[in-house]
Amino acid sequence: MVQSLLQVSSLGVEGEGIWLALGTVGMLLGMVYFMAKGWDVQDPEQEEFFVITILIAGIAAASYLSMFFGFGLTEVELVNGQVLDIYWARYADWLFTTPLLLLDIGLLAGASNRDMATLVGIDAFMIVTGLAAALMKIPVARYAFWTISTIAMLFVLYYLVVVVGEAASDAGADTQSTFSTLRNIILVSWAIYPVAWLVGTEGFGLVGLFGETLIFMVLDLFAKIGFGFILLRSRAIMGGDSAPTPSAEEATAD
Amino acid sequence: MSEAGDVPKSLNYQSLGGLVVSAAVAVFGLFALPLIQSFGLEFRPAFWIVLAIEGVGLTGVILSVLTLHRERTLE
Repeated sequence: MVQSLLQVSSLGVEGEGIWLALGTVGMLLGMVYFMAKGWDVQDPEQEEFFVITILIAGIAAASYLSMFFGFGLTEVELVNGQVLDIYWARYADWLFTTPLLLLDIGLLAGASNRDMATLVGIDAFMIVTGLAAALMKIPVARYAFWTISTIAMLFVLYYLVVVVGEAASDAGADTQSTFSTLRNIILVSWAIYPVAWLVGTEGFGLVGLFGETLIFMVLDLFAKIGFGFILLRSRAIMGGDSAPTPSAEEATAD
Repeated sequence: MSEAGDVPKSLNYQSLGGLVVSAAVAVFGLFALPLIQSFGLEFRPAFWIVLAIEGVGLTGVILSVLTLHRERTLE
């Protein structure tokens, strides 16, 4: 009955607008919660985390809103005649928010600016090649760019675990614990995105736009709001052991 | 990363302003495609412009956040 009502109201192409609406609300609620929680924060380093995390939720909310109203949707006609509905606003959202997520966890771990710049650079390449995959008109080219994007993602995750993880190993116990949790959130959720792309309407078409949008909504909320919820409540940020890590001398003195 | 002692006590209002503007640019980009296409551009060139807008917004946000309370260098 819900599906019929959605189709009658033309909420999206296949009724997926309900998930875009819920995604918008979820991101907005997350943003408001983060703003409320950070309202009285005075510490400069804590402020940085709140600013970044609030921005992530805010940009994502705007992206979902643009998709809901159809601004972020286009059609791509393949050479075989098949027409795909592509929510390009996702990629604009991801181009913006995934670097900010990496910035959040990089600052927490105490990673160097050079390492964070490298991570953000590979991440941007990942998103742009993923977008290219979505917009290509030749199926082979779509999967080629998907492969390149997925390999870039593996590089991002490897760099996060090994290089940024090494920086985090010098931090206190609370920071290391929070870093591990957030790292695992990124590892699990980000790894599902290329799979969702492949089985969804942009790939093999095993899942329709309604189901694909639901999957992306759940992933986006988990990867952004769930990430921020854990980060901004952690003792590593709000307690005594806040990022960035102290120098070795200060750590020894403690 | 900078030492804790290098963190100035006051907020960098220039960076804060840059942050607000950059975020606004990014949000504008999400809704700008029809406007850009109204100037006669096809989807793809218009979309590249949108991506460029998002890239500018992203750069502005990252630079603004990292200089909100301190000066940083690429070290």
